[in-house]
Amino acid sequence: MDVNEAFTTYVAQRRLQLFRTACLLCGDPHQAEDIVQDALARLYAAWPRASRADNIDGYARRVIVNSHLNQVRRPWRRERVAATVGESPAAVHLLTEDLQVMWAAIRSLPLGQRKVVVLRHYLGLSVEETAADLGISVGTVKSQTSDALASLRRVLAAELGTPVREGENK
Amino acid sequence: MSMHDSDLIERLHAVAEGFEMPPTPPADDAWRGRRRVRRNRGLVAAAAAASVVVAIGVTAAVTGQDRGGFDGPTAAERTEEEPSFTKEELREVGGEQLGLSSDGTKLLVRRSVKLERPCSLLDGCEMFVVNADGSEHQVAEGDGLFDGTLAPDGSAVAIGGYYGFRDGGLYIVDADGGSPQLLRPPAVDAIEDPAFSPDGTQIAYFDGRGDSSHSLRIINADGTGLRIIPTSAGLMSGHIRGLAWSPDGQQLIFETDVSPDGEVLQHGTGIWIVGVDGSDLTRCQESDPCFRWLGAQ
Repeated sequence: MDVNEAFTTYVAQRRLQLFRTACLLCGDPHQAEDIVQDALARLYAAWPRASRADNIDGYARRVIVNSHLNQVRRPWRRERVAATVGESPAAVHLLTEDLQVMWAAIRSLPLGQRKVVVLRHYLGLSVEETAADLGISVGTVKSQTSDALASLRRVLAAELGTPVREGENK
Repeated sequence: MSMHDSDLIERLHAVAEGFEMPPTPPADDAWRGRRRVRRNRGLVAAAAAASVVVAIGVTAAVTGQDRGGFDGPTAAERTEEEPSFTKEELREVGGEQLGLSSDGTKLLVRRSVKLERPCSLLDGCEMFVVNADGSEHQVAEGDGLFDGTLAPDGSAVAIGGYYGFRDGGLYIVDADGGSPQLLRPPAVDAIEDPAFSPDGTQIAYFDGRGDSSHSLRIINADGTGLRIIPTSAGLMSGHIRGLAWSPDGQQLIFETDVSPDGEVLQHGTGIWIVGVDGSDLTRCQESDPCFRWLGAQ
Protein backbone atom coordinates (compact mmCIF):
# COMPACT_ATOMS: atom_id res chain seq x y z
CA MET A 1 0.00 0.00 0.00
CA ASP A 2 1.57 3.33 -1.01
CA VAL A 3 1.59 6.44 1.17
CA ASN A 4 -1.40 8.05 -0.50
CA GLU A 5 -3.53 4.95 -0.27
CA ALA A 6 -2.58 4.24 3.34
CA PHE A 7 -3.15 7.85 4.32
CA THR A 8 -6.53 8.19 2.61
CA THR A 9 -7.68 4.89 4.10
CA TYR A 10 -6.70 6.09 7.57
CA VAL A 11 -8.36 9.48 7.05
CA ALA A 12 -11.57 7.87 5.81
CA GLN A 13 -11.75 5.86 9.03
CA ARG A 14 -10.69 8.51 11.53
CA ARG A 15 -11.52 11.95 10.18
CA LEU A 16 -14.92 12.19 11.85
CA GLN A 17 -13.53 11.39 15.29
CA LEU A 18 -10.66 13.82 14.81
CA PHE A 19 -13.15 16.49 13.74
CA ARG A 20 -15.35 15.90 16.78
CA THR A 21 -12.31 15.97 19.05
CA ALA A 22 -11.30 19.30 17.54
CA CYS A 23 -14.87 20.61 17.97
CA LEU A 24 -14.80 19.79 21.65
CA LEU A 25 -11.33 21.31 22.05
CA CYS A 26 -11.94 24.61 20.30
CA GLY A 27 -15.71 25.03 20.67
CA ASP A 28 -16.22 26.11 17.08
CA PRO A 29 -16.98 23.68 14.23
CA HIS A 30 -15.56 26.02 11.59
CA GLN A 31 -12.28 26.42 13.44
CA ALA A 32 -12.33 22.68 14.08
CA GLU A 33 -12.37 22.04 10.35
CA ASP A 34 -9.33 24.34 9.97
CA ILE A 35 -7.58 22.46 12.77
CA VAL A 36 -8.29 19.06 11.23
CA GLN A 37 -7.12 20.17 7.79
CA ASP A 38 -3.94 21.57 9.25
CA ALA A 39 -3.38 18.50 11.41
CA LEU A 40 -3.93 16.06 8.55
CA ALA A 41 -1.55 17.99 6.31
CA ARG A 42 1.05 17.69 9.08
CA LEU A 43 0.23 14.03 9.56
CA TYR A 44 0.66 13.37 5.84
CA ALA A 45 4.05 15.08 5.89
CA ALA A 46 5.08 12.89 8.83
CA TRP A 47 3.33 9.76 7.56
CA PRO A 48 6.44 7.63 6.92
CA ARG A 49 7.52 8.19 10.53
CA ALA A 50 4.02 8.08 12.03
CA SER A 51 3.07 4.88 10.25
CA ARG A 52 6.12 3.14 11.70
CA ALA A 53 5.08 4.17 15.20
CA ASP A 54 3.10 1.73 17.29
CA ASN A 55 0.20 4.09 17.68
CA ILE A 56 -0.84 6.20 14.70
CA ASP A 57 -3.96 7.28 16.57
CA GLY A 58 -1.82 8.69 19.35
CA TYR A 59 0.31 10.54 16.83
CA ALA A 60 -2.77 11.96 15.10
CA ARG A 61 -4.27 12.96 18.43
CA ARG A 62 -1.15 14.86 19.43
CA VAL A 63 -1.08 16.62 16.07
CA ILE A 64 -4.71 17.72 16.60
CA VAL A 65 -3.94 19.08 20.07
CA ASN A 66 -0.81 20.84 18.81
CA SER A 67 -2.61 22.24 15.78
CA HIS A 68 -5.26 23.61 18.09
CA LEU A 69 -2.60 25.22 20.27
CA ASN A 70 -0.95 26.70 17.18
CA GLN A 71 -4.22 28.31 16.20
CA VAL A 72 -4.87 29.61 19.69
CA ARG A 73 -1.39 31.13 19.83
CA ARG A 74 -1.58 32.91 16.49
CA PRO A 75 -1.81 36.55 17.54
CA TRP A 76 -3.35 37.56 14.22
CA ARG A 77 -6.09 34.99 14.36
CA ARG A 78 -9.31 36.83 15.01
CA GLU A 79 -11.51 35.47 17.71
CA ARG A 80 -14.67 34.09 16.21
CA VAL A 81 -17.98 34.27 17.91
CA ALA A 82 -18.46 30.72 19.09
CA ALA A 83 -21.19 28.95 17.19
CA THR A 84 -24.48 28.77 18.96
CA VAL A 85 -26.71 25.79 18.63
CA GLY A 86 -28.92 26.06 15.60
CA GLU A 87 -26.67 28.67 14.01
CA SER A 88 -24.09 26.24 12.76
CA PRO A 89 -24.93 23.39 10.41
CA ALA A 90 -22.41 21.31 12.33
CA ALA A 91 -24.46 21.53 15.51
CA VAL A 92 -27.94 20.81 14.21
CA HIS A 93 -28.18 17.51 16.04
CA LEU A 94 -27.98 19.04 19.51
CA LEU A 95 -31.74 19.08 19.70
CA THR A 96 -32.37 18.67 23.40
CA GLU A 97 -31.99 21.41 25.91
CA ASP A 98 -29.75 19.43 28.22
CA LEU A 99 -27.27 18.74 25.40
CA GLN A 100 -27.21 22.43 24.57
CA VAL A 101 -26.50 23.16 28.22
CA MET A 102 -23.78 20.52 28.23
CA TRP A 103 -22.20 22.02 25.10
CA ALA A 104 -22.22 25.48 26.67
CA ALA A 105 -20.72 24.04 29.85
CA ILE A 106 -17.88 22.34 27.94
CA ARG A 107 -17.08 25.55 26.11
CA SER A 108 -16.98 27.45 29.38
CA LEU A 109 -14.18 25.27 30.75
CA PRO A 110 -10.64 26.68 30.79
CA LEU A 111 -8.58 25.29 27.92
CA GLY A 112 -6.42 23.06 30.12
CA GLN A 113 -9.44 21.43 31.76
CA ARG A 114 -11.22 21.06 28.43
CA LYS A 115 -8.24 19.24 26.90
CA VAL A 116 -8.02 16.86 29.82
CA VAL A 117 -11.75 16.11 29.80
CA VAL A 118 -11.78 15.51 26.05
CA LEU A 119 -8.78 13.19 26.13
CA ARG A 120 -9.83 11.34 29.26
CA HIS A 121 -13.55 11.06 28.81
CA TYR A 122 -14.25 11.45 25.09
CA LEU A 123 -11.23 9.60 23.72
CA GLY A 124 -11.03 7.28 26.74
CA LEU A 125 -7.33 7.69 27.47
CA SER A 126 -5.88 6.71 30.81
CA VAL A 127 -4.49 9.31 33.19
CA GLU A 128 -0.96 8.30 32.16
CA GLU A 129 -1.70 8.46 28.43
CA THR A 130 -3.34 11.87 28.83
CA ALA A 131 -0.35 13.16 30.78
CA ALA A 132 2.03 11.87 28.11
CA ASP A 133 -0.03 13.38 25.27
CA LEU A 134 -0.31 16.79 26.88
CA GLY A 135 3.17 16.85 28.34
CA ILE A 136 1.92 17.44 31.88
CA SER A 137 2.20 15.46 35.09
CA VAL A 138 -0.17 12.72 36.18
CA GLY A 139 -1.09 14.82 39.20
CA THR A 140 -2.05 17.75 37.00
CA VAL A 141 -4.24 15.51 34.85
CA LYS A 142 -6.02 14.25 37.97
CA SER A 143 -6.57 17.69 39.46
CA GLN A 144 -7.70 19.23 36.18
CA THR A 145 -10.09 16.35 35.55
CA SER A 146 -11.53 16.75 39.01
CA ASP A 147 -11.91 20.52 38.62
CA ALA A 148 -13.46 20.15 35.16
CA LEU A 149 -16.04 17.59 36.28
CA ALA A 150 -16.89 19.70 39.31
CA SER A 151 -17.41 22.71 37.07
CA LEU A 152 -19.61 20.72 34.66
CA ARG A 153 -21.65 19.41 37.60
CA ARG A 154 -22.18 22.93 38.91
CA VAL A 155 -23.27 24.32 35.54
CA LEU A 156 -25.65 21.47 34.81
CA ALA A 157 -27.14 21.55 38.27
CA ALA A 158 -27.73 25.28 37.98
CA GLU A 159 -29.11 25.21 34.44
CA LEU A 160 -31.18 22.04 34.62
CA GLY A 161 -32.08 22.08 38.30
CA THR A 162 -30.83 18.50 38.63
CA PRO A 163 -28.11 17.68 41.14
CA VAL A 164 -25.15 15.80 39.68
CA ARG A 165 -23.24 13.45 41.93
CA GLU A 166 -19.74 12.07 41.65
CA GLY A 167 -19.31 8.49 40.53
CA GLU A 168 -21.24 5.97 38.49
CA ASN A 169 -24.95 5.94 37.90
CA LYS A 170 -26.58 3.12 39.80
CA MET B 1 -33.80 12.50 40.23
CA SER B 2 -30.08 13.12 40.19
CA MET B 3 -27.31 12.59 37.64
CA HIS B 4 -23.88 11.07 38.09
CA ASP B 5 -20.51 11.60 36.44
CA SER B 6 -21.23 8.71 34.11
CA ASP B 7 -24.24 10.70 32.84
CA LEU B 8 -21.96 13.66 32.25
CA ILE B 9 -19.64 11.53 30.17
CA GLU B 10 -22.54 10.10 28.20
CA ARG B 11 -23.66 13.62 27.46
CA LEU B 12 -20.14 14.57 26.40
CA HIS B 13 -20.30 11.78 23.82
CA ALA B 14 -23.79 12.81 22.76
CA VAL B 15 -22.62 16.38 22.21
CA ALA B 16 -19.65 15.17 20.15
CA GLU B 17 -21.89 12.95 18.06
CA GLY B 18 -24.02 15.98 17.26
CA PHE B 19 -21.22 17.39 15.12
CA GLU B 20 -21.51 16.31 11.54
CA MET B 21 -18.38 16.83 9.53
CA PRO B 22 -18.55 18.82 6.29
CA PRO B 23 -18.14 16.35 3.40
CA THR B 24 -14.44 16.29 2.56
CA PRO B 25 -12.97 13.56 0.36
CA PRO B 26 -9.84 12.04 1.95
CA ALA B 27 -8.08 12.77 -1.34
CA ASP B 28 -8.38 16.49 -0.53
CA ASP B 29 -6.48 15.92 2.71
CA ALA B 30 -3.82 13.98 0.83
CA TRP B 31 -3.54 16.83 -1.67
CA ARG B 32 -3.04 19.34 1.13
CA GLY B 33 -0.49 16.99 2.67
CA ARG B 34 1.47 16.82 -0.58
CA ARG B 35 1.46 20.62 -0.69
CA ARG B 36 2.82 20.65 2.87
CA VAL B 37 5.60 18.24 1.96
CA ARG B 38 6.52 20.36 -1.07
CA ARG B 39 6.53 23.52 1.03
CA ASN B 40 8.69 21.89 3.69
CA ARG B 41 11.17 20.82 1.03
CA GLY B 42 11.20 24.38 -0.29
CA LEU B 43 11.88 25.74 3.17
CA VAL B 44 14.71 23.28 3.72
CA ALA B 45 16.22 24.26 0.38
CA ALA B 46 15.80 27.95 1.21
CA ALA B 47 17.42 27.44 4.62
CA ALA B 48 20.33 25.64 2.97
CA ALA B 49 20.68 28.46 0.45
CA ALA B 50 20.54 30.99 3.27
CA SER B 51 23.32 29.11 5.09
CA VAL B 52 25.47 29.29 1.98
CA VAL B 53 24.78 33.02 1.63
CA VAL B 54 25.67 33.60 5.29
CA ALA B 55 28.83 31.50 4.92
CA ILE B 56 29.87 33.47 1.85
CA GLY B 57 29.14 36.72 3.66
CA VAL B 58 31.19 35.70 6.68
CA THR B 59 34.04 34.57 4.42
CA ALA B 60 33.90 37.85 2.53
CA ALA B 61 33.92 39.82 5.75
CA VAL B 62 36.89 37.86 7.09
CA THR B 63 38.85 38.20 3.85
CA GLY B 64 37.79 41.80 3.31
CA GLN B 65 36.15 41.06 -0.05
CA ASP B 66 33.26 43.17 -1.26
CA ARG B 67 30.47 41.19 -2.90
CA GLY B 68 28.73 44.27 -4.30
CA GLY B 69 26.28 43.52 -7.06
CA PHE B 70 24.35 40.75 -5.30
CA ASP B 71 20.83 42.10 -5.36
CA GLY B 72 18.75 38.94 -4.92
CA PRO B 73 16.38 38.32 -2.01
CA THR B 74 17.84 38.27 1.48
CA ALA B 75 18.04 35.05 3.45
CA ALA B 76 15.07 36.15 5.52
CA GLU B 77 13.10 36.91 2.37
CA ARG B 78 13.91 33.51 0.95
CA THR B 79 12.84 31.59 4.01
CA GLU B 80 9.59 33.55 4.30
CA GLU B 81 8.70 33.07 0.65
CA GLU B 82 5.44 31.19 0.18
CA PRO B 83 4.86 28.71 -2.63
CA SER B 84 2.58 29.80 -5.44
CA PHE B 85 0.00 27.74 -7.33
CA THR B 86 0.99 25.95 -10.48
CA LYS B 87 -1.49 25.65 -13.34
CA GLU B 88 -1.96 21.96 -12.54
CA GLU B 89 -2.74 22.73 -8.91
CA LEU B 90 -5.23 25.41 -9.88
CA ARG B 91 -7.06 22.81 -11.94
CA GLU B 92 -7.21 20.50 -8.92
CA VAL B 93 -8.84 23.06 -6.61
CA GLY B 94 -12.58 22.41 -6.46
CA GLY B 95 -15.26 25.08 -6.70
CA GLU B 96 -15.73 28.25 -8.68
CA GLN B 97 -12.50 30.23 -8.75
CA LEU B 98 -13.14 33.94 -8.15
CA GLY B 99 -9.64 35.39 -7.98
CA LEU B 100 -5.94 34.81 -7.41
CA SER B 101 -3.62 37.07 -5.41
CA SER B 102 -1.00 38.87 -7.48
CA ASP B 103 1.81 36.66 -6.12
CA GLY B 104 -0.17 33.51 -6.93
CA THR B 105 -0.17 32.16 -3.37
CA LYS B 106 -3.88 32.60 -2.49
CA LEU B 107 -7.00 31.70 -4.38
CA LEU B 108 -10.59 32.73 -3.64
CA VAL B 109 -13.17 30.02 -4.41
CA ARG B 110 -16.91 29.61 -3.94
CA ARG B 111 -18.46 26.22 -3.30
CA SER B 112 -21.88 24.85 -2.55
CA VAL B 113 -22.47 23.67 0.98
CA LYS B 114 -24.08 20.66 -0.68
CA LEU B 115 -21.18 19.51 -2.78
CA GLU B 116 -23.22 17.42 -5.13
CA ARG B 117 -24.53 20.49 -6.93
CA PRO B 118 -23.21 23.86 -8.03
CA CYS B 119 -23.49 26.86 -5.77
CA SER B 120 -26.67 28.78 -6.55
CA LEU B 121 -27.53 32.30 -5.49
CA LEU B 122 -30.35 31.45 -3.12
CA ASP B 123 -28.93 28.23 -1.73
CA GLY B 124 -26.12 27.68 0.75
CA CYS B 125 -22.72 28.76 -0.53
CA GLU B 126 -19.35 29.10 1.11
CA MET B 127 -16.28 31.12 0.16
CA PHE B 128 -12.80 29.96 0.99
CA VAL B 129 -9.32 31.39 0.59
CA VAL B 130 -7.17 28.45 -0.44
CA ASN B 131 -3.44 28.85 0.17
CA ALA B 132 -0.91 27.32 -2.17
CA ASP B 133 0.43 25.26 0.75
CA GLY B 134 -2.91 23.43 0.79
CA SER B 135 -4.47 25.05 3.84
CA GLU B 136 -7.69 26.99 3.47
CA HIS B 137 -9.91 29.34 5.46
CA GLN B 138 -13.63 29.82 5.15
CA VAL B 139 -14.36 33.53 4.82
CA ALA B 140 -18.14 33.52 4.31
CA GLU B 141 -21.12 31.22 4.31
CA GLY B 142 -24.80 31.73 3.59
CA ASP B 143 -27.51 32.14 1.00
CA GLY B 144 -27.34 35.03 -1.44
CA LEU B 145 -23.56 34.96 -1.51
CA PHE B 146 -23.26 36.65 -4.90
CA ASP B 147 -19.65 37.49 -5.65
CA GLY B 148 -16.27 37.93 -4.07
CA THR B 149 -12.93 39.53 -4.89
CA LEU B 150 -9.53 38.92 -3.36
CA ALA B 151 -7.27 41.88 -2.59
CA PRO B 152 -4.21 41.86 -4.86
CA ASP B 153 -1.94 41.26 -1.86
CA GLY B 154 -4.19 38.40 -0.70
CA SER B 155 -4.89 40.00 2.68
CA ALA B 156 -8.65 40.52 2.44
CA VAL B 157 -11.78 39.48 0.60
CA ALA B 158 -14.64 41.78 -0.41
CA ILE B 159 -18.03 40.08 -0.71
CA GLY B 160 -21.13 41.21 -2.55
CA GLY B 161 -24.34 39.81 -1.09
CA TYR B 162 -28.08 39.62 -1.50
CA TYR B 163 -30.71 39.08 1.17
CA GLY B 164 -29.85 35.79 2.83
CA PHE B 165 -26.22 36.72 3.23
CA ARG B 166 -27.08 38.83 6.26
CA ASP B 167 -29.15 41.75 4.89
CA GLY B 168 -27.17 41.99 1.68
CA GLY B 169 -24.49 44.60 1.05
CA LEU B 170 -20.77 44.93 0.49
CA TYR B 171 -18.66 43.23 3.15
CA ILE B 172 -14.95 42.85 3.80
CA VAL B 173 -13.27 40.05 5.71
CA ASP B 174 -9.71 39.07 6.54
CA ALA B 175 -8.38 36.38 4.20
CA ASP B 176 -7.52 34.27 7.27
CA GLY B 177 -11.20 34.23 8.24
CA GLY B 178 -13.21 36.09 10.84
CA SER B 179 -16.50 37.89 10.77
CA PRO B 180 -17.31 39.85 7.56
CA GLN B 181 -17.66 43.57 8.27
CA LEU B 182 -20.29 45.62 6.46
CA LEU B 183 -18.72 48.28 4.27
CA ARG B 184 -21.90 49.46 2.58
CA PRO B 185 -25.54 48.33 2.69
CA PRO B 186 -27.30 47.90 -0.66
CA ALA B 187 -28.96 51.00 -2.09
CA VAL B 188 -31.42 48.81 -4.02
CA ASP B 189 -31.30 45.06 -3.43
CA ALA B 190 -27.96 43.43 -4.12
CA ILE B 191 -24.25 44.09 -4.52
CA GLU B 192 -22.70 42.39 -7.54
CA ASP B 193 -19.24 41.95 -9.02
CA PRO B 194 -17.04 43.66 -6.43
CA ALA B 195 -13.51 44.14 -7.77
CA PHE B 196 -10.45 45.40 -5.90
CA SER B 197 -8.41 48.08 -7.67
CA PRO B 198 -4.91 46.98 -8.72
CA ASP B 199 -3.39 48.80 -5.72
CA GLY B 200 -5.95 47.28 -3.33
CA THR B 201 -7.15 50.63 -1.96
CA GLN B 202 -10.57 50.76 -3.66
CA ILE B 203 -13.41 48.43 -4.57
CA ALA B 204 -15.64 48.89 -7.60
CA TYR B 205 -19.04 47.18 -7.63
CA PHE B 206 -22.56 47.27 -8.99
CA ASP B 207 -25.56 48.02 -6.82
CA GLY B 208 -28.90 46.98 -8.26
CA ARG B 209 -31.78 44.60 -8.55
CA GLY B 210 -29.94 41.72 -10.20
CA ASP B 211 -31.58 42.17 -13.59
CA SER B 212 -32.14 45.95 -13.59
CA SER B 213 -31.64 49.28 -11.82
CA HIS B 214 -27.86 49.04 -11.52
CA SER B 215 -25.37 51.74 -10.65
CA LEU B 216 -21.60 51.48 -10.91
CA ARG B 217 -19.87 52.52 -7.69
CA ILE B 218 -16.38 52.84 -6.24
CA ILE B 219 -15.66 52.88 -2.51
CA ASN B 220 -12.41 52.97 -0.56
CA ALA B 221 -11.49 49.62 0.97
CA ASP B 222 -12.04 51.12 4.44
CA GLY B 223 -15.67 51.96 3.59
CA THR B 224 -15.18 55.70 3.02
CA GLY B 225 -15.37 57.82 -0.11
CA LEU B 226 -18.32 56.26 -1.98
CA ARG B 227 -18.66 57.54 -5.56
CA ILE B 228 -21.33 56.71 -8.12
CA ILE B 229 -19.79 56.53 -11.60
CA PRO B 230 -22.06 57.97 -14.28
CA THR B 231 -22.52 55.57 -17.18
CA SER B 232 -25.67 54.97 -19.21
CA ALA B 233 -29.15 54.30 -17.86
CA GLY B 234 -29.76 51.88 -20.71
CA LEU B 235 -26.67 49.79 -20.00
CA MET B 236 -27.64 49.64 -16.32
CA SER B 237 -31.10 48.23 -17.08
CA GLY B 238 -30.05 44.61 -17.79
CA HIS B 239 -27.93 41.88 -16.29
CA ILE B 240 -24.33 42.65 -15.36
CA ARG B 241 -21.95 39.86 -16.35
CA GLY B 242 -18.62 41.07 -14.97
CA LEU B 243 -16.56 44.02 -13.78
CA ALA B 244 -12.80 44.61 -13.73
CA TRP B 245 -10.21 47.38 -13.51
CA SER B 246 -7.68 48.39 -16.12
CA PRO B 247 -4.13 47.49 -15.06
CA ASP B 248 -3.35 51.18 -14.35
CA GLY B 249 -6.48 51.60 -12.20
CA GLN B 250 -7.81 54.47 -14.32
CA GLN B 251 -10.64 52.69 -16.13
CA LEU B 252 -13.33 50.10 -15.44
CA ILE B 253 -14.60 47.47 -17.83
CA PHE B 254 -17.96 45.77 -17.51
CA GLU B 255 -20.16 43.40 -19.45
CA THR B 256 -23.94 43.68 -19.89
CA ASP B 257 -26.63 41.94 -21.90
CA VAL B 258 -28.38 45.13 -23.03
CA SER B 259 -27.62 47.93 -25.46
CA PRO B 260 -27.23 51.60 -24.40
CA ASP B 261 -30.91 52.14 -25.24
CA GLY B 262 -31.90 49.32 -22.91
CA GLU B 263 -32.74 46.72 -25.55
CA VAL B 264 -31.79 43.13 -24.69
CA LEU B 265 -29.02 41.96 -27.00
CA GLN B 266 -30.13 39.01 -29.06
CA HIS B 267 -26.64 37.62 -29.54
CA GLY B 268 -23.95 37.68 -26.85
CA THR B 269 -23.17 40.60 -24.59
CA GLY B 270 -21.59 44.01 -24.83
CA ILE B 271 -18.35 44.95 -23.12
CA TRP B 272 -17.91 48.57 -22.14
CA ILE B 273 -15.08 50.64 -20.78
CA VAL B 274 -15.38 53.84 -18.74
CA GLY B 275 -12.97 56.10 -16.85
CA VAL B 276 -13.14 55.96 -13.06
CA ASP B 277 -14.53 59.50 -13.23
CA GLY B 278 -17.26 58.41 -15.66
CA SER B 279 -15.50 59.80 -18.71
CA ASP B 280 -15.22 58.25 -22.16
CA LEU B 281 -17.80 55.46 -22.01
CA THR B 282 -17.00 53.38 -25.09
CA ARG B 283 -17.64 49.88 -26.33
CA CYS B 284 -14.63 47.60 -26.11
CA GLN B 285 -13.96 45.65 -29.28
CA GLU B 286 -12.55 42.16 -29.40
CA SER B 287 -9.32 43.46 -30.89
CA ASP B 288 -8.80 46.03 -28.09
CA PRO B 289 -6.49 45.29 -25.13
CA CYS B 290 -9.40 46.03 -22.76
CA PHE B 291 -11.17 42.91 -24.03
CA ARG B 292 -8.71 40.75 -22.09
CA TRP B 293 -9.00 42.59 -18.76
CA LEU B 294 -12.21 40.85 -17.67
CA GLY B 295 -10.70 37.43 -18.17
CA ALA B 296 -7.44 38.45 -16.55
CA GLN B 297 -9.15 39.29 -13.28
